[in-house]
Amino acid sequence: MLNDEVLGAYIDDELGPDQRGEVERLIGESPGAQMRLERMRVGDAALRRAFAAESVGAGSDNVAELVRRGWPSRPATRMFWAGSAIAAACLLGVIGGRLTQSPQLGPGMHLSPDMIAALEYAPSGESVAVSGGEMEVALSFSGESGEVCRQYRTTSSQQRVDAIACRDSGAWRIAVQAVAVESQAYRTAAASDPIAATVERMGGASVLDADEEQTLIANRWRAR
Amino acid sequence: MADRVSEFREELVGLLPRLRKFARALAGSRDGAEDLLQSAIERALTRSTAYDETRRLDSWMFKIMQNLWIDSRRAIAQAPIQDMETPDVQGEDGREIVESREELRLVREAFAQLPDEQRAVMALVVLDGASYAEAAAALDIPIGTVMSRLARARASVATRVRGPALLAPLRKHN
Repeated sequence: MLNDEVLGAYIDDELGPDQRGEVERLIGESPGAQMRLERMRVGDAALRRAFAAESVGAGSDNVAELVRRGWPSRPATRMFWAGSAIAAACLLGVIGGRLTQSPQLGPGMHLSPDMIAALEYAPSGESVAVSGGEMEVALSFSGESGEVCRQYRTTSSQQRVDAIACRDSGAWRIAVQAVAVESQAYRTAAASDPIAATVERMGGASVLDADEEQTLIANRWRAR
Repeated sequence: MADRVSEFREELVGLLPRLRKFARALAGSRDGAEDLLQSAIERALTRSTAYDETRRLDSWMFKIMQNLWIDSRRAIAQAPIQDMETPDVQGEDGREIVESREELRLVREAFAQLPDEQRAVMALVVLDGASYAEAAAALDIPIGTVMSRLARARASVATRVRGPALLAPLRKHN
């Protein structure tokens, strides 16, 4: 199976020639793997841009000079300890605010029995047939307050829908969904960018790895 | 002896850009990163006689830096790291700049929220270009652990970026 570790090793050129060829073949056969691979590449590129955009060399002259001349002893109290403590206090306030929020159910959002079955049993990256088309779970994640959710895409001849469903009191409920009518244009009844906004409201997502997801599937998504 | 000390220091100076980037990845804020970097260099210089010359200096420094960071985090009871500052983004289209700044903010936020051990691996492999073996040596962990931590870190960061990813598929009508 093409899990994220293998896809990562493919991106990082850590596979031997034979392994690489086999992985490329499997990627070519799996739209889900192609999507996950592209997602990783986009994330990597964005992270590199984020760090490249700043002046990494600032202050290096002073430090370099100190290294060459010898280092003066400094007070025992480290600035970065104090700075982190202040930041911790600030962030705890933010997180405390987020905990009071949870994904809101929207009107007219419905999960068919075969979609529920896919959410319940399908591992991420595997396409399954549902009434009227196909469904693929992209990933599973947990929010800050412990709720478990899955993001998925349904594709039919008429439309493509991206959505997040969360496990709530033993049942799957749609937290948010958006319908794509063209490749680059989406319409939604909610505010713009509702999926990202939903993840944001949950205080950020901690994505489950394949083993964690498999354990939850085996346990019918009961708490680990 | 004096030559060896001088060589050691010059090699350390050559590593400063990479060490600074790693410090920034761990600490988040510019001030915190600079202090972490200076603490690591101070420790390296005071313990330079303990440096095993058969080992790569960059790996040794990354390890020192990570240990210092872990120690400092324990001292403040596992507090989250400081949100990273978002730098200016160059561009001519005002909307693109806003979108880019927002994307960078989201990526930095996702990266800052990663567990320390995942952030360290991602910084070494994705930002520094280290091989899995180099990252494993620097962090003193098995290569399999590098792979699993990296996969989880990538998945978390990818949830916050735009593009073909499912978690950010929405674009406004023009």
